[in-house]
Amino acid sequence: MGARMRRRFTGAFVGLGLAAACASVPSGPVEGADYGYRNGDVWVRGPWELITPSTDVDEVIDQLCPAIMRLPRAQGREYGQEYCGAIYSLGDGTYYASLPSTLGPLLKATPEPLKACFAPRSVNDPRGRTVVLADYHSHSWPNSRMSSADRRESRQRFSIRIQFDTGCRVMKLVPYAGESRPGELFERREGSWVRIGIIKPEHKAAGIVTWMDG
Amino acid sequence: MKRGLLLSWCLLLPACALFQRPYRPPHASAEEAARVQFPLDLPADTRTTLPAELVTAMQLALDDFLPLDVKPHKGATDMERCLYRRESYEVIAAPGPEGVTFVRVTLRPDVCEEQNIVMDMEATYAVDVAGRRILARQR
Repeated sequence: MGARMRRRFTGAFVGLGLAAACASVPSGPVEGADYGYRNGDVWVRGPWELITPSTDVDEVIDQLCPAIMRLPRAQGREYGQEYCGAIYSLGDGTYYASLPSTLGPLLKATPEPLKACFAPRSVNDPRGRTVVLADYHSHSWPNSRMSSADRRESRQRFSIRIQFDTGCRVMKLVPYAGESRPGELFERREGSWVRIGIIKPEHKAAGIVTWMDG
Repeated sequence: MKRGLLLSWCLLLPACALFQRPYRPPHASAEEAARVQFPLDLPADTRTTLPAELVTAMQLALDDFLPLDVKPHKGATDMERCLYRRESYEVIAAPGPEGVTFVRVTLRPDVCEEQNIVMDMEATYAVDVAGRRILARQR
């Protein structure tokens, strides 16, 4: 094989490789079609076709992180993008995931690029009225837990909050907002929820966790 | 001759950056200052006492999170303007090991989030007060 032919083969190989790499990164949800503002409130579209619905909400939760982490800049660390979405039902006992939204505040003048997104307020599903069970959001860093700001009682809109990092460590907050029982914080380990801390009623306002031993 | 002068200006002007004064808050005019009435003492029931070491740690974290000279970008929304204000945040500190102070700057609830709840609007720092530096920012 001549040198010219070899170069052509190498070029074609690199080209195909790049095309495959590009094809494996989805372009991500689109504002206006998949999420947006309605009277200032953030809405997201559902269901997200990549997530198989289930009557077991944990089966839906388990699919979220791998799907989100394939989206643009989801693992981009300081140049990353946080994604916010929702888990909901149509009142028929089946849970669906919405597409994620990238909407959030832009603080262009701050030294560190901000990674924050708005928890959606509602889900648009053309099939009917939606009932949101949980919001979810990603962090663009590994080993990044649910922030104390996100554990505060006044920031809870739904019964559950899900957060995960680039290593797909998934955390679940059950805030029990407005109730006298403590909030609970769980981590997903090998297919089950392990309670790692509680938020005592007197600590709900600040979101302070009392961590479990071990 | 003119070209030589221009060249020396071009070389010398950037050096002025090395002589920047550290930030000092501006003082009001003497007229405005004269109108201020100090209490006989700071009221016992409303005063707050903080060790300056702690305040320095908080100041270092806040200066990193939201520098005093930051102005909202052009076209910022009302909520973004709110997020640019230091007054929209609270600062929490706790002592750590070996002279480290942990400082968290976190958005106060119900200040900027009239409509949408914003996730992760905070930063937690490890501050070396003696060295006047940020050791790490938690991710």
